[in-house]
Amino acid sequence: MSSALLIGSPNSGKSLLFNRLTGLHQKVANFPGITVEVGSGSMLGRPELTLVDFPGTYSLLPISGEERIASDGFHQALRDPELDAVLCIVDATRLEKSLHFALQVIRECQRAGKPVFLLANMADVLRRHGLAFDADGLAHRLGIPVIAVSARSGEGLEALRASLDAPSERGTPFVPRLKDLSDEQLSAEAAELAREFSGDTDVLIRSHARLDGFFLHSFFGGIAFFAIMYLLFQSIFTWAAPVMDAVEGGIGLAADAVVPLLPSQTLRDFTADALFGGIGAFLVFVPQIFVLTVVVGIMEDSGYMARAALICHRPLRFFGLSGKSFVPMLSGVACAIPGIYAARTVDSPRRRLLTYLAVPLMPCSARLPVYTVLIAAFIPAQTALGGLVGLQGLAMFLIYFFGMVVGLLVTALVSRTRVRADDDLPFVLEMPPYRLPSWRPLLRNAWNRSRHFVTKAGVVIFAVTVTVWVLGYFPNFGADLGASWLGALGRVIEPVFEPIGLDWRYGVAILSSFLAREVFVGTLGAIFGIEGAEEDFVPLVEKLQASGLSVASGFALLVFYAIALQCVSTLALLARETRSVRLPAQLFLAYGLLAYVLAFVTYRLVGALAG
Amino acid sequence: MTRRLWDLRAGERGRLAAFDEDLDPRYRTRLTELGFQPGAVVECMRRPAFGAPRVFRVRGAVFSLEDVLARRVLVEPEEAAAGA
Repeated sequence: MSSALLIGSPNSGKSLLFNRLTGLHQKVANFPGITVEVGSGSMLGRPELTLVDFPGTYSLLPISGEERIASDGFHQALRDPELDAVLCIVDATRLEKSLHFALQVIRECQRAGKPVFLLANMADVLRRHGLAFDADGLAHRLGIPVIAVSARSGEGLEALRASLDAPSERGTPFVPRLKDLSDEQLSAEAAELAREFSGDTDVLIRSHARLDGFFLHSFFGGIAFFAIMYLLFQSIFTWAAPVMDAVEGGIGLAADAVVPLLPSQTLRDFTADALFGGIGAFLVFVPQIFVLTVVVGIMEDSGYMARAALICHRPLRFFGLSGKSFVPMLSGVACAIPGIYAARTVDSPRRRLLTYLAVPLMPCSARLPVYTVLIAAFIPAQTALGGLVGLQGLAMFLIYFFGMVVGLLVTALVSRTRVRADDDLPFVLEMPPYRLPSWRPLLRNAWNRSRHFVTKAGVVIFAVTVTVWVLGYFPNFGADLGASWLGALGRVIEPVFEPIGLDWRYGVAILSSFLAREVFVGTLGAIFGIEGAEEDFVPLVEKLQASGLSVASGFALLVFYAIALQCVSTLALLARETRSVRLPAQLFLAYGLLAYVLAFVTYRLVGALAG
Repeated sequence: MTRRLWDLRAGERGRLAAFDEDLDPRYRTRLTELGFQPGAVVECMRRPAFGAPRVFRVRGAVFSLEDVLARRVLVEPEEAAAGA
């Protein structure tokens, strides 16, 4: 099986070209030696040739540990005897910026004796602006084949396929003339070639600058920013929420259809609660992941993401984060899962780690049912300031705000004390041209990410769900949660929750909600013997008020749930993304402890004020 | 009269003269690769408010740099070219 490697700097149109060449039939695979995932797929019309989509990078001279891995991966790939050719893609409208990297790639290929092709992308854009690109002249100077292509329109791809079949038949004498150049000579060569071969692309840059004049304007830019963020946030609720409801409903219907057919009661309970419950626990996140991936993808492809990162950089830098951390954190307000996926775009490893610390503290939608029940139980439904402010609404706002503030404080503190500074990258961001996004790659990417979540994180979530079900079901077959192993465990840990005024029942609810916070409500419902507590909060609220739970404990629980990392999906995904259980384990313990301490302080404080 | 890249006004151009001694050599390498080489003409395209990273054009590409970097790059302003 032979392969060809596609390499290029970010924003060169590499992914779109890859999709063109493979007809979107890509699969996500781990490339040997690289810890980032790369796409690979067989080339259209050449099924025996595997095309590998190498991560976009600006340089083969790495300045962070992660870039070193990518650069090492490239050199390792060059030694692979199966590798037939390297396709280096550059943006022909921004040739000057791309050539330096292209020459690095060409030099390494020539040193390794691998055929290399330069693909000058966006030939159609140049032509539309009456500009020409001298591919043959550049080919002659570089000593390698240069093909003008357009990933968008598909032009030049036939020429590329033909060249791949017979690189020597194109007539140009290809000589490895960059092989022996030093880094300095390479730099000088790049500058000279750029002067000679890039046309006057001033007109392109000026037209994008006019749009920047709006989107980066001190006033209008700010308004546009908040409008776009509002749309992004709305999209999660208005587009994903109905699908999430449908997924839950669908799983419920499937369970109703299957369960009665089973022979024994235990098997029926297991299938209904553990199997279908476990599947539901991760499937319900898929619509949000899909919608957010599409919306964030539109922002990236259109070029707006770079502008949003720029606007947010200065305030977020104060807290140790980067402007590129903004979208992950905003996504985290809906759900930490897409937020953690989005953190891939933070290029500084140090700031990405800090982003991972902040995202789980963003007030995600799974906390909403817990907050709703507790606030309904403990905050009087009164209004203040002559009806302007509802106390319950105010409490909800404050607890949401509290999570975000704690998240920023944690990153501010950790960035000033613990995280190593030598894996940081300063904020350098190319302002890509504004472009209309292409739909098919966006949807394909969202589909791939959803599938990635289901196959990788879903397995862990499912396993934990089944485990907790077993603990809660045996040894008395679900008759009494209080007498189950989980209930026994609740009594064992009761002394832990006693200092914040909570008895074993709340201990069990907290333990079971380790899976997912919203389970808290269902578990309390089960303990207090209320069917369907998830759908109708009122009977549970009354039971809670009657159970002797104090106002101070109610506030303590609110604070606890704002901070504790009780979400097995988040933990599983963090382990996937960092390729280690260390970070999720540390976060789980640290946020658990922090949640407990702050809950205790709240309990005492509110107790003193109320008493 | 040498100035900091960060201090260029929107629309002003400068010829990149040198990097500060205290600029991390890794960052210097990266800036060079992106086109911020001594001798290159750099134009400040936009200075967003509140200390946000500023937008510079160099060698046919547009990058935003934060102050940490742009304050450590020295330029000779090109008055004549500013109106071109």
